[in-house]
Amino acid sequence: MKYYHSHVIIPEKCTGRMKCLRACPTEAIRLRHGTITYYDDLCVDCGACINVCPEHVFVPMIDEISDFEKFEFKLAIPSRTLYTQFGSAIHPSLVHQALKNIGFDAVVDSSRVCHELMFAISEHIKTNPKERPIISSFCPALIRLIQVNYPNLMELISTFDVPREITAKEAKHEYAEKLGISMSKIGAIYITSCPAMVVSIKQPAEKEKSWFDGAIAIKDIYNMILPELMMVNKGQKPKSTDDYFYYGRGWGEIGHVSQYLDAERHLTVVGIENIMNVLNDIETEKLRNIDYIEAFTCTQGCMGGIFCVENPYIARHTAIILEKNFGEPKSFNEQEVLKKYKEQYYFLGRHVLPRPTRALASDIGTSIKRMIQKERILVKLPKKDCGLCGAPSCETFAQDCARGEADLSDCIFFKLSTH
Amino acid sequence: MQEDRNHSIEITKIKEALQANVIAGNCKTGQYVSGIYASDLMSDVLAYGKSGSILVTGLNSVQAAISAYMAEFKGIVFIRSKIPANDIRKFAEEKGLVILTTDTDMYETCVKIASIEGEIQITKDISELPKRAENITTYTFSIDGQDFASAGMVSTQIKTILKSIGYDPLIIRRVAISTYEAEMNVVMHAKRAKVTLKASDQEIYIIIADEGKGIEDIELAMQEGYSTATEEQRAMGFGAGMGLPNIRKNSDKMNIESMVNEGTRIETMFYVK
Repeated sequence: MKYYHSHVIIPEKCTGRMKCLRACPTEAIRLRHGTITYYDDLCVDCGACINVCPEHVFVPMIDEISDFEKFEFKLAIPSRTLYTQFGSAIHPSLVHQALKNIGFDAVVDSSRVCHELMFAISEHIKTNPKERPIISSFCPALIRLIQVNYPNLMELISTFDVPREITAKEAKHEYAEKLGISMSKIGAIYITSCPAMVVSIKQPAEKEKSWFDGAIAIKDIYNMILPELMMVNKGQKPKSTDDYFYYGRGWGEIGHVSQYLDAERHLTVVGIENIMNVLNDIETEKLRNIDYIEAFTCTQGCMGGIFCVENPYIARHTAIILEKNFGEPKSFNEQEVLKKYKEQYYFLGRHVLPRPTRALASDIGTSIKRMIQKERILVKLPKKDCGLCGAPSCETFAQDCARGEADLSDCIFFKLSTH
Repeated sequence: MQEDRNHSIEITKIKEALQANVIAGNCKTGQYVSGIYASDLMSDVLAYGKSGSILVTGLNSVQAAISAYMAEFKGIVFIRSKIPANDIRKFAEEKGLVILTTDTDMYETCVKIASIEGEIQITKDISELPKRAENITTYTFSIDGQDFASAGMVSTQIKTILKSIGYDPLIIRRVAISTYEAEMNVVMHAKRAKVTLKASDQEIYIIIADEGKGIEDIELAMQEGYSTATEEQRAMGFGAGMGLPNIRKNSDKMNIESMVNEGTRIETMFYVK
C-alpha cells in the first residue's frame, strides 16, 4: 500500500546535517551515501523532520486557495487555533469576515460540535465499561503512531468521529439544502495548524473518505487575512447576527476536552516520547484506572503545530482571553445529543486498522536469524550513535545490516578498526 | 536437547555404558546424578540445567566446566573423543566435578545413558525448544529489588525485542503483561532477579529467577487478591494480589518453583502459533 504523506523530499537540497535522522520518532529516515532514504510505512506524519531541517529538504504538501476554484461554493472550517493567531482583541467572527473577504463563500465554526461530542463521549464512558482507556482520535499523528508501533492498542482508539469531520459533514448537508445544489459542488476546506491534519483528509486512517476536500495552512492564509483584519476596527462586533458565534477553545488545546470528564479518570499527555511512554504503560496494563486519554504529538497541542504563526504560549494566553470575552456557556440540547449518540450519529463506521510495517523478515524463523545477526553486529559497533553511517543509532544500523540494507563497512569506526 | 530424568544413576554406570575415560574426579565416580542435560549452549545449561545433573556436551572449553559448576552439576561427559585441556581438568579437580570423555556422539551418548535402566521415565520439561538452535535468540536482563523507579524497564525491553522480530501483536501483549507482573513481584518482594528471554519461531519462553524470601504457599499466592505487599507498596499502586493469577492467565504454560528464604523461579511459555 502506498501511504500519502504530508511532505515531499527534495534530496538535492540536503547538505547532510542529519538533524532529521535523530528527530524522527519512528526512525524512518536514513542518509545513505549522502542520499536521503525514507521508509514511508514508518512515517507517522508528526512533522518533526519538516521542523528541524534547516535546509527545508522536507516540503509540506498543502493545497492553495486556487485549487478550490472548481467548487461552486467554498466552505472554510478553521482549526480552533486560527482564532488565537491575531491577538486577544480580534473578535473571532472578524476572522470569519476576513476569510469571506478573501474568497470563501461561508465559514463554519466547530465550537458547538466540540462540546456536543465531548458530552456524548462522557455519556459513552459512563455507560460502556469496555475497552479502557479510550484514546482520543483527534491528533492524526497519534493515530498513525499507534498504527505503526502499537498495533495492540488499535481497539482503544476512540470510535467517535472528530469535531472537524462532523462539522464538515453537517455544514455540507446544510448548505446543499439551503442552496439547492449537490454536495459535490461544495468544497469544504480545513484551515490547518499541522501537516498531519492534511494527511487525515487526503488518506484518512479511520474511514474511507474525509468530508473535507482539502486543507490550507494557517501560515499561508495568515498573510492574506491579516490586511483584511486590519481594515476592520479591532474589538468591533459583527453586524449580522447570522455570523455571531461564541468562541470555544475546542479540542486542539491541551487539557480542554476534559471539562466533561472525571478529572481522576482521565490523562493528558503531550509530546511523542511521553506518549510512547504512556502507550507502553497501557500495553503492560499498568494504567488501569483511566477512562480517557487525550494526547497530542506536538508539545503545545495544536497551537504548537508547525503551520501556526503565533508563539504557542502566547496563542494559549490569547485563547483564554478570547473565551473570557467572547465565549459563553455551551448551549446545546443535551437530550438531542443523547438521541444522536444512541442513533450512532457520532461514530465512525469502523475501528482503525494497524498498519503492517516492515518486520525484520516476513517469517518469524528468518526474523530471529536476523535478530541474532543484528546482535552480533551490534557488539562490534562503537555505540556512539554518531550517525555517520546514515542511520540514527548503532542499534538501527545493526538492524539495517541484518536486513541487508546497509553494509557493516559503512561504519567508520568498524572500518578503522579493521585496517 | 534436554532430558530430565527422575531416577538417579551412579556415575560409574555411565562410565561403563559409554566405555568412557575418567579425566578428572576419579574418586567421585560413586556419586549419583539426578538428571542428564545435553547441550552445547552454556546459557541453556545455566538457564535450564537442574542441579545434580550431568552435562553431556561437545563444547571443549573451560566455559563448559564453569557453567556446569555454576549450575551445580556433578560432572561433564565430553563427546566425540574430545580431550579437555588442562585448564578444564584443573578447574574440575578444584571444584570436585567428574569429567568423562567418550568417542560416541551426543545422540548416541544420551541413548546409551538412557538405556542404563529400562524403566526410566524421560520427562520433557516445558523449557524444551525446537531443535533448530539457529532459530532461537536469547537475551538476559537483571532486575533489582526495591528499585521502583526502573520497574517495568525489563518488560519494555523484552516487548521491543519481540516487536522488532515481528511476532503477532496479541502474543506480544500477553508476554508484556505477564512479564511486567513478574517484574513487579521481583521489585516488591525479592533482592534481585535474572530474566532470560528465549524466542523461537515456535515459542517464547521467559524465566524469572529471583533471590529473595520465596513463597511459602504457592497455591495461596496464586489466588486472586492474595497479596503480601506492604501498605507503602499498595499506596504506590502495586500489590493488588493479581500478579501471579495474571501471569497464569496470560501465558500458555506457567511453572513456578519457590524455596523459602532462597528465591522463586517462574517460567512462562507462549506458543507462537
